[in-house]
Amino acid sequence: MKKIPHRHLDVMDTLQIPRDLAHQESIITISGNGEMFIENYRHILEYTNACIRILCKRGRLKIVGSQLCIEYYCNDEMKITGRFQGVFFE
Amino acid sequence: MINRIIRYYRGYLYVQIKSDSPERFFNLCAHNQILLWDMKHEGDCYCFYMRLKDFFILKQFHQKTRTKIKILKRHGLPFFFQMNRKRKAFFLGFLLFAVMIYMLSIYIWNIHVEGNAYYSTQRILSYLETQDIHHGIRKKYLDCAAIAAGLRQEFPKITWVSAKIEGTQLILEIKENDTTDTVDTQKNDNESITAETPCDIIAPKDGTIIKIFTRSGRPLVKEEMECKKGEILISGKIDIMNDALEVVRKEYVHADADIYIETTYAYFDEFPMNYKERIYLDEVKTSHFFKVLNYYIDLGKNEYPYEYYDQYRQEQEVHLTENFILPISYGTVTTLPYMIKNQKYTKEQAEEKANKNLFAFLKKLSQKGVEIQKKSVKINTTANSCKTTGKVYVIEKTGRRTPVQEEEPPAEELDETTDERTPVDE
Repeated sequence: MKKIPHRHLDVMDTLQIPRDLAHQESIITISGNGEMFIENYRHILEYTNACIRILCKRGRLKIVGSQLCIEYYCNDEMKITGRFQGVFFE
Repeated sequence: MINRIIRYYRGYLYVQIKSDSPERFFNLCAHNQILLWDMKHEGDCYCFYMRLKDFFILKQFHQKTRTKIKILKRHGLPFFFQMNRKRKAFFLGFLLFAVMIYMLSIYIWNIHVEGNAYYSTQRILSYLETQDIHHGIRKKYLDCAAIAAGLRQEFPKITWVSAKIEGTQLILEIKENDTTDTVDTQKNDNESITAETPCDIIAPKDGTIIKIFTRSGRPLVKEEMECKKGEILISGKIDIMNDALEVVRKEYVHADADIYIETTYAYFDEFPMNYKERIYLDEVKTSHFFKVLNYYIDLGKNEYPYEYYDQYRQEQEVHLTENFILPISYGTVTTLPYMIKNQKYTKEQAEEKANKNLFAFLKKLSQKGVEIQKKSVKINTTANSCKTTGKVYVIEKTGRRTPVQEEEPPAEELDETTDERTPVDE
């Protein structure tokens, strides 16, 4: 993934452009420890009942838990349910 | 909810895949705008739902990722039609049902009238029948504004009408005039007297004036004056005078007043001392029947081995809606047999019966708004009959309207000496 120059990031912060647009960050919304929405990612790297790894635009995301189930998955967003034990950024 | 309906309408599948690289398969689906939902990892395979139309695109992916795809379940309308393609009668019946529902919904099946007290619902419905408005009429032939105007014109006591169509109901909301006429219009001599017709109020019977409140007209009597039957109490003719107290012209108004007079009612009652008493037996027979148009279908025995019996029938009509009555009814016929025994009243029984009759008469008078002052009644019993005679002194609101005769204005006479016209003195 091509890195955005630091000064460009400063300009975009000054203009108050949202980070998911400016920094191409993923948006992760967690409700309790049983529901998670993820937006702005690239694709799935691994999917098992105990672990889901996702490649984001700036890094990787690893979700560890049990009975993990993908409620829906498409190009724009996905929803994961189950019992989460941890969310790690790699 | 709407998504689920759309999904069912278009059809979807529950699919199972086995693959060495299932994540690559999922990513290919996502990049090609194929939505997958309810994904689960079960052992060495993955199960998920997908749309029917997307399934046909999977062929290129499963070859690329060496995935084995198996359809576990099929859901949706396309599969329902395919499964029932031989059941044409079912779909035809469903279509016929939809058409029937639509056809029935374009007619009026109930006419609901509310707010009416003076005019009965049946009377209003009868009027609507004369205007060709009835149950089963098509909605497009109804003009609510014309119905409302027609009702206001036909029924003078109705001050406001709202006619609206809700579903297959025609709803008529009515507001009637609450004020009651002080003078009973049924007692008018002339049926054509309206609220604007100039008229006098005359006494319908002899009596003494107790109270008089005049709203329009010229009172000719005062309180505590005697009046005779036919005497004018309130005159509708008013003389307009000038400063010299000469009558300039006459005006004719619709006399209106509350007049209370004290009068008497003659009372007479007679009944024979011998009478036939009905002694009802314990045997009561009940049978049921159905009626369609004018045909009766009795469900019980019609034999009655009694010489004397009372029979009453209770009939219940079948209503499709509130006022839409079908020509079908059902009910029961109850037979009460009795014996006749000749009896004679004793003196006490005869007096008791005479008093009962008198009280019934007085109650009727009270219900008409008459105030009973006193009664002077004598009961006379003989061997054959019992007579009750006397008078009842009452105070009642009374008055009868009669049209006033309008006088023609005096003709003008030509004065021979001055060639001027002078009015002729009456």
